Amino acid sequence: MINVDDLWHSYSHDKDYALKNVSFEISKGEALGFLGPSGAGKSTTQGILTGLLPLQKGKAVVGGYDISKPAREMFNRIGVSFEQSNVYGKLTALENLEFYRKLFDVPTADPRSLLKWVGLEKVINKRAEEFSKGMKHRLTFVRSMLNDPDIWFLDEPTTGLDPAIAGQIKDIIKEKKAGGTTIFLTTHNMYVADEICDRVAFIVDGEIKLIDSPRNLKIKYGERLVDVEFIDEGSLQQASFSLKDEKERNALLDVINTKKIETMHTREATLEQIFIRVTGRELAA
Amino acid sequence: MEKNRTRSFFKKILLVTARDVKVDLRQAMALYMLLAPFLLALILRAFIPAAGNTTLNTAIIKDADTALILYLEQYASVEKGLEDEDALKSRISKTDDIFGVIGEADGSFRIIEQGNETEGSRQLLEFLLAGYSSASLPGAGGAEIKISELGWKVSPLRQYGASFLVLFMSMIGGMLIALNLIEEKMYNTIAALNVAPIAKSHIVTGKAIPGFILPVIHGFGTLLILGYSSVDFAKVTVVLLSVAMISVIIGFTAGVTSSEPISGIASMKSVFIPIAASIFGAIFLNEKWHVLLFWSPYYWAFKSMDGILLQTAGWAEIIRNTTIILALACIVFILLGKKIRRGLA
Repeated sequence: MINVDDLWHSYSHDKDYALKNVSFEISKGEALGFLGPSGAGKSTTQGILTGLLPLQKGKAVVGGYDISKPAREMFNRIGVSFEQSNVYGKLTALENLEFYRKLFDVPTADPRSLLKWVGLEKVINKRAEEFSKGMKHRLTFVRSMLNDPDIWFLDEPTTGLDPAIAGQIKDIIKEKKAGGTTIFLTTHNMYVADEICDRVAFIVDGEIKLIDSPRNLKIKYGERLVDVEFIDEGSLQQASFSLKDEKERNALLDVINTKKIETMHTREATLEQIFIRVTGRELAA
Repeated sequence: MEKNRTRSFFKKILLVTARDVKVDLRQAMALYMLLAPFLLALILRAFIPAAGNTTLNTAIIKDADTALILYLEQYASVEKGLEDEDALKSRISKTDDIFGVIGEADGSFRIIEQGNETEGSRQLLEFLLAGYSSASLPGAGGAEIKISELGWKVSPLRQYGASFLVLFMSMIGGMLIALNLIEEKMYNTIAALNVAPIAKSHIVTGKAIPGFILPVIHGFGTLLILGYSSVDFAKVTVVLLSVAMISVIIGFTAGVTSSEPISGIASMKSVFIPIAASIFGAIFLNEKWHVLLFWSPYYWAFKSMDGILLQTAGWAEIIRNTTIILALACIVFILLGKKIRRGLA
């Protein structure tokens, strides 16, 4: 559904590239997470793929449409949710959705149902300027679902939201994904990427460092650990053992055989730990 | 298929227009701008003596010559029955536009006035009284009175004030375009529009429509309030639509280059200087210096409006001036078009 080949972009139109040789593919119904710190090039990539930024160098095809000359019809098939809420403050929630709904040339979802889906059904006739940040974000989010898009671009969909609302948004994304929607998700939240994406791409300084599924990355780069709490000479002790290292595996067996185990948990490396290991950079940077 | 495409084209344009109008009606500043021309026209009407009519009003004391009263009543409104000269002066000192007439012992007449009456009215009254005097002379047989052009068809303040107000207020459409664009930029809703299935040309057209309609509504309203109900409104429409082109281009430029409403309004206000300069230049400069104003579309618009209000402008003149205005608008667009396109991206 999305093919990107050797994408380069410079805001200053010089050698100071915000994107360098970015290439990837996303299959139909797949969710790809673009994981990277602020300024890594995530939003620039999304900007180019949605036609908001000009394609300077490289090739990109979205849903069969060449992005070098994006056809307006393409936007009947894609949905874009922005990181920063961008709704008309002087219009009510319902008016906001009604306005955009009428711009589509394809069947659209009922705005009231969408608003109900994100818990805004009681404020449909309230002007968006009176909304809290979270409410505006939810309105921006559901607006991107009006045309039931085949390809859905989500820029930091849960950033800045309280956990309950973030959970609600994640559930909706998972539901749409299960329904076959292709998702391009940019985030610096490893948990969101881990939970939603089939594959993740690590991007730093405009370059993709690697692309793979979270599971493969954990197997390849992660260090599986076992955390154990046990009683030793009357006091509670804690220890972590790597399952990769034979010496530590034996030490774990020794603890299991000789000590009284209180708790024991397996612990996988998080995407963030893998990201740091691969790129040498922190995601939150 | 083609029919559906055309319907969709207009539907989307009107959607953008309707959204902008709805937002304007919900913003105090925009709402004020929508109503301001009518308020200013009402104020102008209140301050111009007899802006709404050109009736000659006279007052006369009760002992006045009945023949004189009957004579004046043929041409003017006559208020009779005032006790004496003091009562007459007291009446004249009121705010309305009225002359007092007192017959002297030697057969001449004295006119009492405040001094701010409609220009030309006094000359008309003098002319009528002179006609009465000559008709009263033995053997004169009654003078035939003909009313001809006295220099001013209407009060110059009313004439120029109307043109000035109409052209000045033509900028309001552009101001509202600028305000709406600034709002789109401030809240980044323009990005959401740019990822919707609507062409940029639809967005621009939809946003430009109020910039063309408002000057016409404001112009018609202003002229009707100021009593110009019999002018050729088709000509007025042509002039206002052509001059609105400039306002729309400047409105878009101010909208895409300003980051917040106040700076947008300030950019638009800077255009008021050339408008005012063009109009005052056209009024006060000697004809031979008018060449200095030929660069300004507002000069040509003012010339057209002045001719329309005086009912002296023919279609040939209007079309010539409009062509010049449109040519100047094209030059403005060539200069600013790139900036607008970049700003809308």
